[in-house]
Amino acid sequence: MALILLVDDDKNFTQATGELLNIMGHEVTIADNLAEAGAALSKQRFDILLLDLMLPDGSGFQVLENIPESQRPAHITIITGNSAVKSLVKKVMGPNISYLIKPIDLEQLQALIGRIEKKNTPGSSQVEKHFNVLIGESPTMHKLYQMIKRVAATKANVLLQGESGVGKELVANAIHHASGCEGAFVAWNCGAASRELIGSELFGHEKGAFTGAIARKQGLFEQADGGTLFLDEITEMPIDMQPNLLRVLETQRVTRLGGAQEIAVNCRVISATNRTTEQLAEEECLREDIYFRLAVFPIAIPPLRERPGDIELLAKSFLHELNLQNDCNLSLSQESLHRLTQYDWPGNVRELRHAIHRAFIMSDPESSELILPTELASPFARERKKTQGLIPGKTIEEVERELITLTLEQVDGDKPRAAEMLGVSLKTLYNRLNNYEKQLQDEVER
Amino acid sequence: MNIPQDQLAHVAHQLRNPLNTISVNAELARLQLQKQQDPNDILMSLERILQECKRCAALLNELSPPT
Repeated sequence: MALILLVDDDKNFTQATGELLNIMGHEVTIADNLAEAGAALSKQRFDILLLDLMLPDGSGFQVLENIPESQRPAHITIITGNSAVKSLVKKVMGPNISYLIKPIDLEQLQALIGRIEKKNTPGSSQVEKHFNVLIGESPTMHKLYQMIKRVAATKANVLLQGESGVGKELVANAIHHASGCEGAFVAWNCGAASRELIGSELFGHEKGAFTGAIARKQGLFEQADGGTLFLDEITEMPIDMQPNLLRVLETQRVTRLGGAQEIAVNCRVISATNRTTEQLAEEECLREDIYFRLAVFPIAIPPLRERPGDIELLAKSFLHELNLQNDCNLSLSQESLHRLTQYDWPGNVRELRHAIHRAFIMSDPESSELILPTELASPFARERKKTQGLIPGKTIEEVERELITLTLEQVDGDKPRAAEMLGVSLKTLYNRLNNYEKQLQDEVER
Repeated sequence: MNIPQDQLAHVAHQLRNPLNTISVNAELARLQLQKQQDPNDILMSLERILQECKRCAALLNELSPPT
């Protein structure tokens, strides 16, 4: 069964096609216009999007442009009456889009869905996505899922903290979906708008409120009414603008710029920052009063290096998506997986996704194996030499040797500093190193 | 009767939508019959086909009014 979103303004067509697809065993949601399509796409992730390009309130291209990456349907099909549109769309959207040419018959529909289901046959790596978006089975991620579930059941505002690339928007999305609220998920980056526009974006404006305000505009709070407003990089909002936001958070009412009337808004605000709580306090980039309003429930998202067990799952899932989109069947060898798990991923999941994408582009589409570049490291990190750690069965001497080697590596061979860190005298350190050298010689001679 | 090319192209384009709806509703009616679904549902599909036929006729009348 596939989850299908059908976007077309011809009701006689959508009703019949919806029923046809239902009889064929699929679940269909119908949207008559751009706004309805946007709302449906923000609520759930569809397997297939069937899209007419001519909509009463805009073009189907606008639907495609506004889909958040996390909600992008696996397959997009354009419904068109003119096969010449194909080459035009191909130029704009790339080759991974299919078409239904009007008049549509059962054969076309069956062929399309048959092709898609064939691509999704079991055996291809299907990784479980928690809340439809999050991947990972490590204990830290399960703890995160539990927190998402708990906070989703409340109306509390959430502050997401985590390094760049850990997937803060995906977690916000997960909370929105788990809450089962009716309204839309509206995401906005506080660093993306100029200072003059922030007020208009958040609270909207009335016609004529300022030069260039040619029509009334709904603000983000109004758009997210009954749903979730995600404010990314909240600390990028100028500190003197923050009291305006605080007022809305406290009163749950907005006044559009140039307007006189207060409008009640009811949405959860999820904000995100890549700063730690200590940094927030030290750098004074977020007012204390607004922090307490936003961080009713703070959630820390772990960096990828703290959940290395998930690297394999994530890499396989990204590769699976690329295989589907490009009709390929590449896989990851054990050696490649080992290399991926040895790397630090300072750019977190985003960096891993890009690394897989880059490797995918470089690999031969006819081959069966994904070839990783010889150098994975970005300028931001170095490959970690992983130790085996504390494992029962090792001798104290072995663990001691491992610790000394690691410490020396950390301080670039500075022995007095290493001795200090290890809490031994410099003489003891030299004695140990001499012993290791002797042992090595003995081994070689043997 | 001389009909301008652009008018012909316009009507040809406009006819695709009702034809499409007729096609899909006919497919649906056939499937509904095969699956022995509620006759009222089948009647609805047929009703939609008839509506769209009228849309086609109206478009053709623009080109050449009935005599």
